[in-house]
Amino acid sequence: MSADLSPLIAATAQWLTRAYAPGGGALDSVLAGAQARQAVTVAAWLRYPTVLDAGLVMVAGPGGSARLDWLAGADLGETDEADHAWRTWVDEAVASWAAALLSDRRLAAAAVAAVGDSDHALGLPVEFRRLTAPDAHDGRAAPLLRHPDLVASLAGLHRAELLGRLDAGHEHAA
Amino acid sequence: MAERAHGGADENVVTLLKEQHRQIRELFEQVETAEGEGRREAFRKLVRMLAVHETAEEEVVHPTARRAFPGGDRVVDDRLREEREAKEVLSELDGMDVDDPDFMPTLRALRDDVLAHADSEERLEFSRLQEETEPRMLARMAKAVRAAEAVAPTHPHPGVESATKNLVLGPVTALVDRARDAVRKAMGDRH
Ligand SMILES: [Fe+2]
Ligand SMILES: [Fe+2]
Repeated sequence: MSADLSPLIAATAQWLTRAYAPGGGALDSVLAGAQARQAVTVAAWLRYPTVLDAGLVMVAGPGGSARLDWLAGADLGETDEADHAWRTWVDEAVASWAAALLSDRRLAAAAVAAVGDSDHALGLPVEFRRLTAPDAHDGRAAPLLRHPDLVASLAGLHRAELLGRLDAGHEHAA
Repeated sequence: MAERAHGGADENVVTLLKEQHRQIRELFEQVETAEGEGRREAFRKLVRMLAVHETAEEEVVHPTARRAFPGGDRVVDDRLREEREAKEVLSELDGMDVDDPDFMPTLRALRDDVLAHADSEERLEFSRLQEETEPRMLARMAKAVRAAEAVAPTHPHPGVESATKNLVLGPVTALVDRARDAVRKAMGDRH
């Protein structure tokens, strides 16, 4: 059995990148997108750690971006079908966890360590350095997305669960 | 061995990345031959392709190559340095308009560097990785690269029938949590 979280991950990363849009050129927007995507990947692996968890959310549906759009103050009005489509794949809790990771380097390192032997890593030594070790370009490309004050309300939505999950993993490993 | 253009359980990551190198070469040609708005558009595609490709390599391929063969560490460090240098030039270009007289000379310099980098990857890194890695793992790496490069879906989740349904502020997440707890409990009970 294989449960591919990539539609959830790609949609949730797109939501974050648009909500905290970088101001610059084409490079900035793709560099911000890469950071968001890595953060969302780690968050999704943490939230849905097993193939079973992932399979369930992909069947039940990740919930969509409605509450996030409202929170972000996005006035979507009458959105067209294409815009509506990807938003149904957005996962609110995963977006919140990703925002917490992007704005807190220590939390990001802990989360990456916690998913090191995740089923989703397929036994590969994957690295998420755009998240954990952003260079100067990354920082410039995603000033809003990495700003603790600006992501605070989003990160706060499910922060307690994130901390709980990281703590539980820690105790489990100890 | 059959090579698949769009993934599959037996896809080889080296084949996939070489195909992307070919696409990158093509995009450079498009930027060079197009003009005005067409050039601007081709350049945007090139920027996106380059950044997505290098990010996926950094995430999935280089870490595995490091451990796959003796000297892998040095080979990968050299590739990472080339990728960093290319990013500097790309950033410089991104700040210029395509009509800027410096644009084309800078683009050609970037093309030479990026193609030399791709060539070094294929000769010094990917060939060794392929020799030292089981096909099963090469297929997993291809899957991971495809996941890292995936774009957001264009079809709604099958459970959502209409745009209004997405507006029902429901604790769908909680629903999934409950479903998961129920399954866990059921599974736990059998142990
Ligand atoms: Fe590369
Ligand atoms: Fe490459």
